[in-house]
Amino acid sequence: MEPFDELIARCLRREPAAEKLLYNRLAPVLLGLCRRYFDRPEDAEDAMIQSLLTVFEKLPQFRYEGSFEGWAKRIAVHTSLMALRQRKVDFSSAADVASSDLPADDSFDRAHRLDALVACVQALPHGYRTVFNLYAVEGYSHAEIAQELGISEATSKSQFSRARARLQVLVTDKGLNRAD
Amino acid sequence: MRIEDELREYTAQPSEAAWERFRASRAASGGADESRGAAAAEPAFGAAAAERRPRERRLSPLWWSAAAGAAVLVGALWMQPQAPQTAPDPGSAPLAVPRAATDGLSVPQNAAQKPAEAAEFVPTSAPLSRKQTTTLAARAGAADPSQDLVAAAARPDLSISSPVAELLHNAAGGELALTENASKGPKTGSIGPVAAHLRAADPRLVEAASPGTGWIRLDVAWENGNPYHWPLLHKNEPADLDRWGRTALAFAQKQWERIRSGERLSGRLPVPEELTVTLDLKKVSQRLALPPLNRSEPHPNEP
Repeated sequence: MEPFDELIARCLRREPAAEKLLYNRLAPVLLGLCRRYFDRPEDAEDAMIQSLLTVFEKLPQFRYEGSFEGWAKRIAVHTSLMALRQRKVDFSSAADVASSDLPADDSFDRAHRLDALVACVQALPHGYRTVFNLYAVEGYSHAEIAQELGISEATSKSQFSRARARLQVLVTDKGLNRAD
Repeated sequence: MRIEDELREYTAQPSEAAWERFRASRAASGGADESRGAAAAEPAFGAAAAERRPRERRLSPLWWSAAAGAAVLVGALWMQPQAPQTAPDPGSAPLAVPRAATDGLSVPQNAAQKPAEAAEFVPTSAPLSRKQTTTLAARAGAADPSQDLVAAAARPDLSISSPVAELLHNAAGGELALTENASKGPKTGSIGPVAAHLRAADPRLVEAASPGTGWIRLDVAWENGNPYHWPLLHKNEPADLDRWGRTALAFAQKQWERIRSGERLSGRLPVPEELTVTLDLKKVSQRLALPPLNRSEPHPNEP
């Protein structure tokens, strides 16, 4: 597999084949990330495409000082948050999302386990879900989350605590909490 | 492994249309595009692009003027041989050429061309030919999404092990397609066109206790040629096939009603002109664990 450095250099030379390769490498990762922030798949795909456009636009600014994938993921997180903000999502609210489409049976094989976990995350209210993603998955601190979402640090902590509790219930209900 | 760690590793395969949308957006913003030939070799980023774009902006009015002039000239030349030798009838109207006449498919362009209350379905009892299917996909601006489907259906070694798979096999040559003017259609109905269409294709899909497994994909083609796909996320649930079928159909119907009502799908996309419902045989066959395709023969999609 071609290293990111070489792919980036080729993309900067505007080689379409390199852009396609870079897209193929990043798109599944970024779409997986965006799916955690949006309950509708089309919204997640929109955010993924917007993130990739930003990645390509900002490519000359990448300083090779860390993981390129991590850099792209941060862009995707910011893009997702921006999209949520534009929809006036109340991050401190605990209102449920319109529908939770969790699979009904407990007989998941390993291939479906991750999908089911993400479905559990998607079933969380917007505020819970965003704070949970930022804190538990992306590794933001509560102070950073508070600044990013325009909420207080205490709210961030309580949202995370509730999100974790709700998620635990969902995961247990679906028989997904086996740690194998 | 903790749930957070598992979630961190989660990836999802984007739809086939995502790349097309991305590429179109890139091209619009000055990114690389194979179709632009020599122009694609110019750098898109940095100072060179910054220098090039204002120059293009300055030149664009000239190009538009020249193009408009050329169009008027060509139009005049084209009209000349058709002009009657005698004085024209003042009441005569210019001849209208239906856009869809060239592709062999009857595609209504507006509500006046068909009853507003009924979507016009491509009859699945007479599956589209390969050529027609390709034309349909080409009109949608996609890179023939039915190629895999048609190729898989045409393979003699593809055994069919369920009624739904058999249905898909029969329908594979022709996409389950429906077209209508989305913005002018009625907003309510007892059963949505998608479900009605699926029922028309085979009542088992809607009414049977076990509608089967697989995926249903909605392919929407916008007027600007950008296709958009919804791969439904309802996975094969062997323990509750009925629920899967009902959920998938409900999703399809909901999306279709949103399109018909004129609601924008993602806040910035326009109302589409066409909607195609595709039963993706390739994915279904994978989930039904059918025998793998014979890889000694080159796949039609492979170069």
